[in-house]
Amino acid sequence: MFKTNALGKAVRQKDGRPRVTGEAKFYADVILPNMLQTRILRSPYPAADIVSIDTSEAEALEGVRLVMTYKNFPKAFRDTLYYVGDLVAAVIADDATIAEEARELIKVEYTRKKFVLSLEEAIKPGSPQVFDGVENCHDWEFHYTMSDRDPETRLFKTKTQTEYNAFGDIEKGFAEADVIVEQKDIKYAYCKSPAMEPRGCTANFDGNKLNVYTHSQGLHDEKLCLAQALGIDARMLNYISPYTGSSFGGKNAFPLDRNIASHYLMIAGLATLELKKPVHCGYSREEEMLCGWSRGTIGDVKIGFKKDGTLTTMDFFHWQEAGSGGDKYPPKNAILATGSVLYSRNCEHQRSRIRYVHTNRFCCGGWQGYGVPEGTYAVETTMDIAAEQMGMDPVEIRKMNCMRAGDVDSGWDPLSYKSCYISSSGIRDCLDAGAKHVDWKNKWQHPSKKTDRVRSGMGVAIFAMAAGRPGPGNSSEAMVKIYPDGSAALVSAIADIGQGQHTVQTQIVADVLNIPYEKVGIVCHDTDSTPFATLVAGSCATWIQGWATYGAAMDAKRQILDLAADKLNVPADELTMDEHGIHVTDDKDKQITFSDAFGVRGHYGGTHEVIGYHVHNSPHSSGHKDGKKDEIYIPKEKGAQFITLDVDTETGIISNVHVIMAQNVGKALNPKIVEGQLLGSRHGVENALLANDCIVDKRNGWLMTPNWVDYRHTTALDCDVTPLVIEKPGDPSHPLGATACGEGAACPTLAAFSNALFNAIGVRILETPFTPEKILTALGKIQARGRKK
Amino acid sequence: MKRFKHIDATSIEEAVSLLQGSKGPAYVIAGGSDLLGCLKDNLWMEYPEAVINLKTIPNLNTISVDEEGLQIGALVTLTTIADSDTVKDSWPGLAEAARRTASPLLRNIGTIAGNICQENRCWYYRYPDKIGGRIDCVRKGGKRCLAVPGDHRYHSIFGAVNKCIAVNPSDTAPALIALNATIRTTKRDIPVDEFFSAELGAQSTVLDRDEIVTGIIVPNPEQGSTSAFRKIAHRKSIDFAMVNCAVSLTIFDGNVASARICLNGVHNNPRRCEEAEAALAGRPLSEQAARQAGELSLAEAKPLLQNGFKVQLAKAIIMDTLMDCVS
Repeated sequence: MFKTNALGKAVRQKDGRPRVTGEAKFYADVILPNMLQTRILRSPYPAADIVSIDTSEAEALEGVRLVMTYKNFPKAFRDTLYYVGDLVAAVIADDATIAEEARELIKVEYTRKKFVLSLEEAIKPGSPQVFDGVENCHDWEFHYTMSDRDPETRLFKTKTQTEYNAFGDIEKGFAEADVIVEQKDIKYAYCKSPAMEPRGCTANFDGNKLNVYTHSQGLHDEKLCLAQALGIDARMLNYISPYTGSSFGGKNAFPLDRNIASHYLMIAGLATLELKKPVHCGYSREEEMLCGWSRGTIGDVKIGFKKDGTLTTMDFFHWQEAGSGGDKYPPKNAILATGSVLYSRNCEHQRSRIRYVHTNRFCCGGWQGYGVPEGTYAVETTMDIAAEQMGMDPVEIRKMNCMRAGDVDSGWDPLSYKSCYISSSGIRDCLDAGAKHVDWKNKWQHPSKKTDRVRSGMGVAIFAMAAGRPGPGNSSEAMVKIYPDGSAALVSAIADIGQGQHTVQTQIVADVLNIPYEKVGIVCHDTDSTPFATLVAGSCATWIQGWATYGAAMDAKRQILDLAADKLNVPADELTMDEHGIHVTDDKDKQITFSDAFGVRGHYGGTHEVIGYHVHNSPHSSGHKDGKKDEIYIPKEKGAQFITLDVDTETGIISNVHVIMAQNVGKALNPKIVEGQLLGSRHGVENALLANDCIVDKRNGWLMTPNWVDYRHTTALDCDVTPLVIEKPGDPSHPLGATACGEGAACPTLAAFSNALFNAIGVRILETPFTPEKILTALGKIQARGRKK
Repeated sequence: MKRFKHIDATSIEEAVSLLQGSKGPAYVIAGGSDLLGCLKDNLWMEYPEAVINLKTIPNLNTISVDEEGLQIGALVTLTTIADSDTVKDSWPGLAEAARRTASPLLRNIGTIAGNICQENRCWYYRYPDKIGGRIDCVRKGGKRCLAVPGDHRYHSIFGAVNKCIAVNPSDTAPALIALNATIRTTKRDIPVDEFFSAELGAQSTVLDRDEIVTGIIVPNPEQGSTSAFRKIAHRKSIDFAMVNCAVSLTIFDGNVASARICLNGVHNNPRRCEEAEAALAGRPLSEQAARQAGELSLAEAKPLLQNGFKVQLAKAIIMDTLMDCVS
């Protein structure tokens, strides 16, 4: 439809140079005159009540401006503590040294209470209650049964609240199955979202407004929450986001729920309003590790097959650790790995039961993968066990049963209310591409044939991840300005958290306006200067914001062609715009410069900027099947991952980890950024390989790994990733055929890793991380840990 | 972190007199990669009055070879040792140990003397004091070791010293022990076998508070001798060892004439494996002999509930490092 100008090209990232050279300014670089510093006193106990707190000595120290506790700031603090690191008090002082000294002068008397630190313990009947009088284990509120399937469209028409998510008849499904494969207790150990930049903000009151400088995943969403939590009008708050130092989805600020980590915003906001002075509140690495979003699950999977390997029935039981509060929504994505979406091809009977479980640890929230890695790990491990039991090739069993374009997505997103169609799959192409890359046909060997000390393994897993949130309420807006010099700017609050979103969005503008990418800038400074944009989460930005950007650029283009049409006396639809100006499509010589199209400058009445604007409410009508509103196509992130690795059977050490990540992205708007997103598989490897399970002292609840030495990131030496970008353009749900590419890379990794490990050593390890100790125990080289009496 | 004086020393004598003359606690700093972490986490329960910078002292950052052996200045960085052709050719175990230490950035600032004087990494000892107040382990004056009943998966498999089960984390220490080095200080020459002493309390070496390492001497290799180093860590890029091992071996007439084997990461001090050394002598080095050496060296291991796997790691690494010397 358009001449491709910037799209499909690996143009330089807009934020690349500033980030690499250090010119980029992050929230911590915002230093205001007379800025006060904050130090937070945190709970040493996993569960306690504050009996008394005496701040008088701290307040008397010279340079201390404010000491905040539950007594004077009940909005942010409370006298019951739920985890090690929970808020007790905050000191606001002239500098950090004074604040630290004052913190030590606060006298607190606690009553310690019983606590529970792990998912397994918390599930047990009679375990200590995190919240007094409330069971730890909760049924998920969003369970529905889908029924009334239309034989023609195959969509479910009725959704009824039940005790689990289901369609078909699970009993009948298993009764009719030839082979039933069941695996219980597949454990995804509690781990952290690994952002480099610790959380924090600087707040400043300028006489009219509270200005808050902070990292952000969604400026407007976060601003509205913060205004409400602080109890001020939204008009009084300007939310300013300089560069964000990575997020991995775990830095969405949600101050309304005080169980979810945005305490820095509340503390700095309230203190600034009180003192009318700028207040900086930034977390140390230890605080970040204590208060970064986490996840951890246990899954049971049972699958029924026909003799030939056709998957007909799936039962899925999922316990999600929620910590002391937490986000209840990630399990909706865990279900994506089941017969509801990933195996929707042949699955006739499906049941998923979700429990979320409170523990005395920091809250768990959705981040990179938002539930999908946990579900995929459980299901894709069980699929591998099934292939082994039935003597089938692990690639073939997946190719036979995985979702294809046009299959029905009944993923029970609590925000949406329908079943819908999968707009494109490409998983089978991804499986083929990955298998070819690793030479699966010739190199895959059954583990029974491996006897050397160092054994190689090869594993595969597939995945489907949500791409945006298709239901109502997921809107995004954009403005595109064109200036008289022929340059343009996208005005949008869409957050760039390192995923390259600003680059891709400006590429869309350049392409629509048919001007060079370098001529398009971005305005994404604060909430005051930008229209609403969707929260960047669930790999949605290219998809949801992409429509808004596209629409705003089209609107701006229409306006400038109208301006030129007036001057040239030619209808606008006969004009074409390019970097030199506007010309008649069939007569290049009949043209006008931008400057002339805009008219005279200054006080004499010309036009000084053209502003295009568009509001996009998802889903877009072009995603309606045959124009029918009730039959929607929605995209997914989807693909296949292969992992090869070597295991030393004398030491249990895994080396030469190589990930081949194949994903169908529809159209890669920027191939290099897409490849970069696929490298995100490294984070999955780190949870599998590097003993990253947030080790906690069981007697005291202390986090023993609150730093990058003890909690490890993978590096290029530990894990090599080959991205295979598969393009299947033509996805109707996006104006440019792109679908989504972001969180997917982390989704299949634990499963592929676990399957490769089994393929190497012939023993299945069902609990992450896959440490040398577990491997040596599985191999019988050492005794399993016993309880000493 | 509280404020302190930072003084650039111009000579080693000046550094010593500054240490002696300081009113409050004083520390020397070279690379600082360990010291600053210890100060930030307030490990020693005392804030320094002064930190004395050794990097401004000339001539402590050179490597040379003379009849005594390899002379390494205290300020020589791990990168310099890892990249030195001289070291790689004649003392490959030391070059490899330096190369496997930490990450490129840390090797560029970290010095050899700092690497052998560093504090242990026990996560109880290092637990930050900024989360609701400090926790006192036995090494900080508490009554008991918190790791023994707590999480000790990476701790000692050879028992406690003064109730503490932290391990020595250095990668170059076992290499220097295998190579029978001498540590030269402002007061004396200390054979490396006597240098590490967790027994003395809240420090890992026998150094007095006003004593500074000035250099390390590694004897010239005898004919037929070679050395090797291996490390088992979670990552290949950066990590403290779960177990590491250095070996120096002299082969004469097809038989092992002498061997020195040192493990680290297994006990409070680096651990020589003298029984295995004796058992190897006078025989050819076969894979079976190497495996036996591993078994012998761990015969006295007393693993705790959670760190039995380190015994197997140590056995395997001894075997592999020995075999590196003959392959």
